[in-house]
Amino acid sequence: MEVLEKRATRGEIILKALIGALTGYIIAIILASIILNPSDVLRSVLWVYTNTTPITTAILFSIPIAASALGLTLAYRAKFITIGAEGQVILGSAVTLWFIAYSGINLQLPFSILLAIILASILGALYSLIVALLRIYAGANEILSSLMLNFIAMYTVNYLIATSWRIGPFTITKSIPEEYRLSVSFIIATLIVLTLLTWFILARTRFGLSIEVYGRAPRAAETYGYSPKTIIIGVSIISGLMAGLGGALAMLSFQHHLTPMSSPPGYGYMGVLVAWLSANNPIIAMVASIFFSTIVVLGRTLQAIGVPLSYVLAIQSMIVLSTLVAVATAKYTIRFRWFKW
Amino acid sequence: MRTKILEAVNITVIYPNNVRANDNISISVNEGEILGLLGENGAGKTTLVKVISGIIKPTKGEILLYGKKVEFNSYRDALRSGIYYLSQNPQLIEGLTVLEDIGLTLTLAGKSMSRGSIEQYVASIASKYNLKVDLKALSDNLSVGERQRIELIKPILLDSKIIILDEPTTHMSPLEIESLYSMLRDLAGKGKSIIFITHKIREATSVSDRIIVMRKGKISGIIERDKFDREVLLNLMFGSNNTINKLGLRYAKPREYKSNILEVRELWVKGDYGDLALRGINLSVGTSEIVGVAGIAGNGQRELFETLVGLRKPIRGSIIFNNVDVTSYSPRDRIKLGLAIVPEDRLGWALVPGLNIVSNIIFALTNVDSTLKSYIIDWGMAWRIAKEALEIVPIQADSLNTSVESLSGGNMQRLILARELSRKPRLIIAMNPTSGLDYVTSINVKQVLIDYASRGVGILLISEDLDELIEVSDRVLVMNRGAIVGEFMRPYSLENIAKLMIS
Repeated sequence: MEVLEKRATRGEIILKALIGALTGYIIAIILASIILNPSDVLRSVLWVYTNTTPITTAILFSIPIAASALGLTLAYRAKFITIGAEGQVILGSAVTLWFIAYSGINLQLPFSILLAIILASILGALYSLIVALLRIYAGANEILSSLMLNFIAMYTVNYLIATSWRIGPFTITKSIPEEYRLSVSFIIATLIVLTLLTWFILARTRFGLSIEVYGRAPRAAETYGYSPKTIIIGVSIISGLMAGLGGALAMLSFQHHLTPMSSPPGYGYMGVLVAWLSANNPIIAMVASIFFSTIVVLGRTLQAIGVPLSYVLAIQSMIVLSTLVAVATAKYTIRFRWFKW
Repeated sequence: MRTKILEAVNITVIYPNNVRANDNISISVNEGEILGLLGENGAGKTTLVKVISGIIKPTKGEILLYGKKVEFNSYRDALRSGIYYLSQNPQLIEGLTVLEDIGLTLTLAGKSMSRGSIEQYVASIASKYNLKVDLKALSDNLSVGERQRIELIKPILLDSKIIILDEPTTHMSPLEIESLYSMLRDLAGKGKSIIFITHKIREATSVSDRIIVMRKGKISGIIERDKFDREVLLNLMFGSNNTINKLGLRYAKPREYKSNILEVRELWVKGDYGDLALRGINLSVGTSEIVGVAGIAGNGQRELFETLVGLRKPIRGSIIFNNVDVTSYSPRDRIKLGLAIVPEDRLGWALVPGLNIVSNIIFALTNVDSTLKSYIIDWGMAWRIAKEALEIVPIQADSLNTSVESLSGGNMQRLILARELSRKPRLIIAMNPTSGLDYVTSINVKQVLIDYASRGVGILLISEDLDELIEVSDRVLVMNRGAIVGEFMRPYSLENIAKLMIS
């Protein structure tokens, strides 16, 4: 077998991605039909993509994914391969919940929301900064250190949920009061602003150029006067800030409370996947985030009509995988032939 | 008449971009001969030998080995048929030691040998042909010259019948070239056939038994040893009405050295493995002066370049640039003081692959150009600045939006010079600036350096090409094992310089 790279136009790639997604859905429907009535399955798939309620939910779900992915496009372009978005999203959600429901600090309404968001972003940025500092000063591989930090964030928050934040007999926290919750239009606006902001940083700023240069030719960056430290610290702060922000917005728009089940939501990891899938292009990353969250919504819908959770996860992965394969076929020609050894 | 060992018949290669790199070419190689393949860059020499060695499949044509048709599907097939191709820029496999790399090539060629016998055999070849190799060294950090030496040993170890050398002398000193010649003659005497690719007429005539001249994908002439003539070969290479003969370096009137722009005192620097790469280097470059640094690759030149640029911190000594002690300065601060940097690797060190020409110019200017200094890039301004820079040294490109890796080596080097000179430097530090460039472009590059020196710019030229150093330098320093071992002034004695390089 031989794999050859080829040049594909953006249109070709997008078309293949759509075909791949469609194929994924068909396979998913067939898989689900083994357990359930095929017409029920088909109806719920159509429902997800034609009704406002699931679409709204998908857009809400997409904010932590998109915010993580957008920040990561910068980090990955600088070849800073952190996967710490997961931990930063968790910390962002947790600190938002703490500030609004537990801290006892009472401010006027828009200010307390604003302050909660800022707090979450800063915490995310600082948490991400640890990874950068470990890489710069201790030579630690950012993939490993950020993964470990994810576990620390997750289990710390789980501990809080199970102990001091717990209310009543169940391990569930207080909820964000009605009046603090954010609307879907606010989330859409934030999605657009974050996407444009990321694009702007990349295409129009000196920092964006330095990211491109360092990621593609670190030696050239260093020789011609860029500081690798500044670039790595910069991208880690921005990506952490965005992931933390994503966590805060997730809490304020749809999560509302934490349970040990919901505290490792996987949004950050989806962000990692989305950033890779979109070739670190912010605009594609935003669209891909929404696509991902529709799959999450579809999964929940299937669960609601009786498909077991593990099977739902398999179906979700099927759709993602078939999209990935389709995109790969747009970028590579795969030829099979016999080799003479 | 000696027996024909290999024939390539009617070879045509058309690349995907519709370039006819080889147009119906037929050549034959006799047993025990050294065949010179002469031609300008882009004449199709490398394409032809890549077809012969199975790396490229020809669009048309066939290859006969001992009169029998063979079909090579990969380099491995050719290797197993006794053809060894030594590329212009040999790459070893990273992460392996030299010994392991050699072992891997043996395996690829379908032979096996124990570690001990490889070591023994290599040692005997190395001492016989005076090739210094360290079998335990990690291949990642070897210079081109060192990699080449290892590649030269492999075909002998493999007992290859046909050895193809693609521009082997690019990174060699005159003495190394001489010993390469005698090695090739010795191998030819033992019945091996050698294809020797070069774009230098002198090299082709001094070693070949027969020269095939290529021009624009075709064979323009085949000349036997007794009929070698420079004029004839030049005309075959460039066409009969060529202007090359009129090309030459124009020297400025004697220049005045007013003061030193660079002074290096007692510089001690550690190498990558903690060994001492530079041992007490003292040197100075005056304004308007071109100082050449000669030496065989791997004698501390790269470390010297990196230290002067600011990428490597010295353990002792000082660097005074423009009357400022810059020893602890970052590259950025040195650039601000007027340093122009021309590294030996164009792509990845001087230029950023994947970015267009404009970005490749302005990324290195944002630190010094006040109009580009703001946090937000004004791309309109950036394009204007890039165009202005390219007026200094023009390049050939479809558009400034072209990605740099699609440029030819010559255009890349011109682009680098344009960018560096647009900063109006006081000192240019260049390493092997003409390596791999064709004749015309390398004259252009050398001329640019001479012109800038006559305008008061100091130039430190670190090069493995002794001819080039003698041509342009006002002074030549010789580096050996991390120290400056000699200083020469015009008129130069090539022999004495070469002796010091290997002493």
